[in-house]
Amino acid sequence: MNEQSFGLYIHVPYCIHKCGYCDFNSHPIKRDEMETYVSALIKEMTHYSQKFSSAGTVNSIFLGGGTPTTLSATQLARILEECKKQFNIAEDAEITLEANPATIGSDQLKSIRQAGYNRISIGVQSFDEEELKLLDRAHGVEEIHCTVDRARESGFSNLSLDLMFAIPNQTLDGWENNLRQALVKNPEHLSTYNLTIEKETSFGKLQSSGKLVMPDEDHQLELFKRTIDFLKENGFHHYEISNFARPGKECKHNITYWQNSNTLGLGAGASFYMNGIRSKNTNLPANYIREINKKHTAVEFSESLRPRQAMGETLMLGLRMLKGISIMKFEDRFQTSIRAIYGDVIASLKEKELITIEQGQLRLSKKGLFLANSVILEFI
Amino acid sequence: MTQSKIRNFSIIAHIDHGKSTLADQLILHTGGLKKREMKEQVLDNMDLERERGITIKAQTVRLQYKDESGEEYTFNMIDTPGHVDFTYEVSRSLAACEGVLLIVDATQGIQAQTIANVNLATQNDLAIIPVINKIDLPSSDPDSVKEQLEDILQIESDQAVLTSAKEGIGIDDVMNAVAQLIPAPTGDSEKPFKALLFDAWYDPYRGVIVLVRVVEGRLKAGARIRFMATDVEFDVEELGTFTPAQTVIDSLQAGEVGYIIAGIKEMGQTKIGDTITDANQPTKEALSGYKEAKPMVFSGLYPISGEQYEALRDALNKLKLNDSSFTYEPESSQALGFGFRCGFLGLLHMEIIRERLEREYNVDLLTTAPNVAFQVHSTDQSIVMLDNPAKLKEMRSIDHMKEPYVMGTIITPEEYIGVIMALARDRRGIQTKMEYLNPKTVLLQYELPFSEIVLDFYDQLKSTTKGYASFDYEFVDFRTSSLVKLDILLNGEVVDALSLIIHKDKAYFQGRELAKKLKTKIPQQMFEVIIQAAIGSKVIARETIKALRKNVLAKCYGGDITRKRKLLEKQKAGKKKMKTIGKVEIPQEAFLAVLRTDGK
Repeated sequence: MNEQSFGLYIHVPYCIHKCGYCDFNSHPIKRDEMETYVSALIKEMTHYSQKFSSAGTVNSIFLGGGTPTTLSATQLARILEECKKQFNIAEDAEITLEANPATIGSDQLKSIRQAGYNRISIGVQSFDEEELKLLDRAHGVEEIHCTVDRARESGFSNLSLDLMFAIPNQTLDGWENNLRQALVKNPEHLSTYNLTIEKETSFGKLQSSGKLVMPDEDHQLELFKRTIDFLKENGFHHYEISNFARPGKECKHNITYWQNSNTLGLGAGASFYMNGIRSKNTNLPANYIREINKKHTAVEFSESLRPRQAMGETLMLGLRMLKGISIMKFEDRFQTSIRAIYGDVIASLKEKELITIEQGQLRLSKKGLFLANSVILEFI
Repeated sequence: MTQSKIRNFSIIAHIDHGKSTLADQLILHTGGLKKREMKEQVLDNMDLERERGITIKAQTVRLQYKDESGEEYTFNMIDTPGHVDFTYEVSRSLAACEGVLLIVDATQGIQAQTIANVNLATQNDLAIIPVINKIDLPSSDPDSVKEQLEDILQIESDQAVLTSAKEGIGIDDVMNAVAQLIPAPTGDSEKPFKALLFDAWYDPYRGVIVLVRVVEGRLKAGARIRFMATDVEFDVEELGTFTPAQTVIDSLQAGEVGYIIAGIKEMGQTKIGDTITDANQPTKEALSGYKEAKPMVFSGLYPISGEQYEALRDALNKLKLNDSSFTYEPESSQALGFGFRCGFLGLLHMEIIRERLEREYNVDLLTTAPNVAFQVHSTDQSIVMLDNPAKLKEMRSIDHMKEPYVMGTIITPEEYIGVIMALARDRRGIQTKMEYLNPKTVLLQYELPFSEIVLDFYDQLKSTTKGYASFDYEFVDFRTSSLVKLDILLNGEVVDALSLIIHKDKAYFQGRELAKKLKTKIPQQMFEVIIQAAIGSKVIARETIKALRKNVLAKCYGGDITRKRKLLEKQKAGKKKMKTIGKVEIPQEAFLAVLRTDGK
């Protein structure tokens, strides 16, 4: 990783529909607000591009949501154009746009691609009509095919699909069938997420009232294992707990997070980590717009991490990647020996066969991968 | 001050009948404090008291009252705790009085503690003024309370004062009744000084402050006093009263209540119930005093981290200074390391001490399940008190064991008789009395093993009677009983801190319930945990906690990092509070699992 580089995240907080499991910062579409939102984004961008003018090259841009494709192609193009104007974007920068099926048409996709977005990540979640319904998604299977095919036709040669497993009633075969259908689309990248229920979501409420029952842990584990085996057999590189890629197509932007490197976040609820300071913007789009118009920033929370916290985060994130973390880089970064801080923890985790150290990389063992949280907890 | 114008009284009541609120009103009405100085329940000093809305430690205030005809009186009001755990404090306070205000809630009528308190007052020969409180509430029924007073307590109801302490109704009537109906103290001020020590606490700046009721004679600053039981002497530095502000006065004389500061360094030198006299001109006869409060419930208190052992000892020592009813002595447990076996008056007392240790002294504690003390009778006729079940195995040639019994009094609306009988039977209770106090209200008395009621009897009683039944108890004696030791094993190892002594008829059920309960309290570990309950070498229950196989976050991106880290930090803090026994990490709740094993 080049120290003189960072990732740029831009949050588009609008969605046509809030799914039952979603705990992201997403809000209903408001057409008139959205135009002022884009202007606010650009104002915020201007502020930070000046502040971090010496921060180096932008290696990746990621438009996430909500659903970024709720913005018009023109608006999306305008945002990217501004990025290029204000930052020094690397020539081979990965520029990702998240999209949901049924939110985007052919023409729109073409202009977005032409504007310079070179990677698209589509929220498929499932190729099963029943499961989509259960997940409370706003689209059907047919729309998935449409959107993916159109993306390809529009020239997106770097395509990622999001899938979800451990959906209630999902069998191992049912899940494998989902994976198979995904592979038909020949994606460069796949994110497979274990459905997780957060308390404050509508699924959370259904669960606590007993109306939604998650598959048991053992079954969840089997599904996860099957994912890994199946995708490896099909030539994918398992590079992070929930992420798989064709070799060389790993998501640069997300790797920046997992390496705990600098990332600048713009937009409502966006988080950033620049030079040891973590901040987060206010969540509500209207408040965000107001704050930006008033003072060019909308930071609601900011903290400067103590060395021990920063080390804990670096391990918490780094161990999510299957190659783990480089001990040398860790020690360079924190100017201390890792064993001086975590000697006992490392010894005990090694004894329990939860981690390995090989060729200077500290990583989760196969057993440790499924217990990542328990392992990470020891480093916090 | 003229002795004939002094009135010494306490307020007694069933819990929540409005004792502290009435005390506040009396202070307000006599000008002891301005309205803006009043915090609710001014006499409840500790944060804990105010938070829980209860009085733990008795407080005393001197108030000035002028009646309609202009006569001036001095009231010494001694507030008393309301919870059954602290009954001994009530009897302490009553010894310093000539009368009591007996508060009865007009919506609830007479309750079990009302009766217990009236008995105490009668034993002390005190004048009783009934105060029917909460008459502002729509459901209040003062007339039926009056009937109850006559029928149940044989107290004349025409003297009853109707109040709403909350609304300030009837407060003047209460003060007038105190002046008119409570006798003035007697006692010759010219005789040698003699006073009853009825409370004491430690003040870091002044040393021990003792509260006294002067019985005979007169005391001035500078005098030399002797504590007759502990046989120590001090020079009086300061005399005073609480109004409720601490106020210095010149002298204390027969009939008065006040404090003495005399450079007393150790609490041990001041025994509650002791007689204080003039060292140069001593009284001939000491007062009879009263029996000391004995701890009834025991529990092991262990620091979570061994480094806090010294800090815990210091904290216990400091708490003990102001609470002579609680005891502690060092002990060690194979499972928990070094700690202390502490004795408490009851469960509430235990919770309060525990909370104060954690809150005021910052010691992270692990508390073992509370137990009562058993008598172990050996074949050689010796008797040993067993306050820790784990120690039973060290005892040789046991002939038999005895457990403490209490007399429990329950007052209930008659429709709940059935469920109460079932509950009492389940707790090995023996009914000794059943009396209709009126057509709708019944008094039940049971002899009950104390171990059966100490943990959750009161909660069970409240929930099965929708809160209508009230309960009070007093210790009776020790009785021979078929007791066995129930052990809990984790992965084959006995955890001594989880052992309990229990009646053999209940051991199987309890063992199964406890194993089940522990299964829900001990988190999954990275290996399988087998929980067994055993009596001697016989395993009677077994549960398995499966090994944790999956614990992984699906997502962690830029927006999640702070939140996830904080979540992990919180989990880590929880983990630090667990005790590792063998390899198994056990949270505090597991040690208290026995508190709720009835599965109801």
